[in-house]
Amino acid sequence: MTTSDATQIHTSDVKSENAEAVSIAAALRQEYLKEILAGNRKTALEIIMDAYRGGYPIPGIYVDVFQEALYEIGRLWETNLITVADEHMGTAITQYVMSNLYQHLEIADKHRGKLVMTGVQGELHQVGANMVSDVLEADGWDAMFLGTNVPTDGVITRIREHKANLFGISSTMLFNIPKVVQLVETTRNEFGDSVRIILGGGAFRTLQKLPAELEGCIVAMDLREALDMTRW
Amino acid sequence: MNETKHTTLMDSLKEAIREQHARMEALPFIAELTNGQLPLESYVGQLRAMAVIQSTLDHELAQLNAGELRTLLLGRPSRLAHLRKDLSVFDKLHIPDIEAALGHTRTIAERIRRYRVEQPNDLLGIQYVLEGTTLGNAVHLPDILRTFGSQTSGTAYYYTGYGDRTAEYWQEFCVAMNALHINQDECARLIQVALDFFDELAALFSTFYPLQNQEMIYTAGMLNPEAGDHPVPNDVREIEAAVTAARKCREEFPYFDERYQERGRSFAKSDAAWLTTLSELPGTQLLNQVEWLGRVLGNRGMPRITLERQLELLYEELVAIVPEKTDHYSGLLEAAESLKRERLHHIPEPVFTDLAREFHLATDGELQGRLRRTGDLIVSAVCDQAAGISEAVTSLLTWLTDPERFSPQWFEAVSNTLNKAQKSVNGNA
Repeated sequence: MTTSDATQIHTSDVKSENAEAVSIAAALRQEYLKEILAGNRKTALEIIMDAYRGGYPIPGIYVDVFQEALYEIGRLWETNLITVADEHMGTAITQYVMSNLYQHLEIADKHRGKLVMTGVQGELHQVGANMVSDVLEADGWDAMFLGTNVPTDGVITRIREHKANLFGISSTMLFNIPKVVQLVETTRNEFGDSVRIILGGGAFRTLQKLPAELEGCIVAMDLREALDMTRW
Repeated sequence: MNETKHTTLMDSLKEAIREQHARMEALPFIAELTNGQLPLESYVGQLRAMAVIQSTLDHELAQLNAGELRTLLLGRPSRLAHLRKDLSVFDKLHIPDIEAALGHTRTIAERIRRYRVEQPNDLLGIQYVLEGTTLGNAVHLPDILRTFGSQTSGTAYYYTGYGDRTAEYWQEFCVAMNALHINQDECARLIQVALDFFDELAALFSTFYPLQNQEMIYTAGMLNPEAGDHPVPNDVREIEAAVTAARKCREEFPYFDERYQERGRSFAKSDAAWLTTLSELPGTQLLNQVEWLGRVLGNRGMPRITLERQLELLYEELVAIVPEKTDHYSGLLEAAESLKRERLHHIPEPVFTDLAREFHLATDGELQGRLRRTGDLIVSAVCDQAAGISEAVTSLLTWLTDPERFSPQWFEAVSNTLNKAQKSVNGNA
């Protein structure tokens, strides 16, 4: 895939519009999920690299395969059909596969702005934030991914140093929402409206009502929305 | 046999870590331990960190490719159980955690998980260091007993290791490691893993002592080494209230202790502590969080009637110990009431209580009190299932219908109650 092709990446490409594409995505995801739950790191990587070499765009792999597989892992854990060790393994293998895929990521020519992305303090799940960072980077954002569980003052420093105009916060666990609120309030106190805030992660998918303190933030329920909502 | 210039793997490992080992022994932590001056917070900090590391390793060891060695290691007395026993002695003191130690512990745990994914046999490098620690702890056992023995009734399970069998188990481990079929590169890799782990342990132990400039905080890990990193109260009174409420809830439902034992007791404490922090949240958010926990527990054989009671008991304990914040805690009671309303929406009173009572009578008073309120659990699980918690009934029945525990008469009673409860859902009796 060329760089000019990459600049044409639209959510429609990522969405896999027709039924056949949806079916291919579903089959790929099922196969991938089976391998990561079995702990087959090498097979999982081969499946993804084969898909990429076969023309599947990387952002599409993130959206259709990794994201959905990890949501399914979360659901399987919540319903006690897999253990926390299985969940860790699935996540760890996905991070390993992502790190191998990253070197092939084509970056769009468009320069959208500067992003700092992090998981909230106390949040040990970082793969979601990592995915958003990679996908937005491919879409033209100058992305700095801090990892997760970074102390607030460190995050604020990085936003300042990177001169970010977009700050992304990920939270997988619902119990970390109060910390998201604190981080958003601190960010607003420091930067006012000059830094827009995008929120995402499993916690927001579960939340029935957005806390009032988070009104005004962009809330993306998945990677597709994160892409759509940051193309202003 | 894996020999590098006629040197066994264990010989190579021993030689490689010699310098690190000496540096560990020279740490202030060890010096203070040896001279009997080690603070209790440092000792407890060490036990907690090692409990997290050990529990992580135990989860991952099952993935080892080296079948015989895996069998050997998994067949031994659990070091995690030793650590839990030691920690349980200090439960009531609610000793805060050393914040810097938490970061190092987390890093080590993540590394262990990464090894399992990338190269499972690397875990043997970790195990080597820990087995060696078990052997070496015996040297410091007298120091531990001298310093803390009066508080622990003379016990120190972690430092006692495998007791009289410690040397024997070490020899078995050496033989099994030396019998591994690995090449020179794999050997070098194992050695590097052991060296890296030693370095990380040294950094970790450096946080245990001295304590002067260390930030001490209350954490979930203080109550339960497997709890992760969720919030807990900053006020020790609230922590005490949570621990008491958890105990009372377990006493009301002895099924918990029977089924989940020590691990369940630990999770009950840490969950109760987390629930306490929810009183900081506005009503909808608090309820959201409680409902999430209800789904997680309900799918794991813990029907939500127990969460309902936990919240009620927690409220009672909190307002007794921290009466000035009575209004502040009211959200917990409201959450309990919300769960109750939902439960009774699916099977209303008096049907709910009648079904539970029938089970009680059919099972010799729930086996003469030993498993009291199990009838409530069965009927509540049916309500949970009706509310969309898909594994609520299955996860409970897996244990309640274990033929090694219960008689055919018990099964019949379970089956009857279950069937009647299911027919009663939403007034369809």
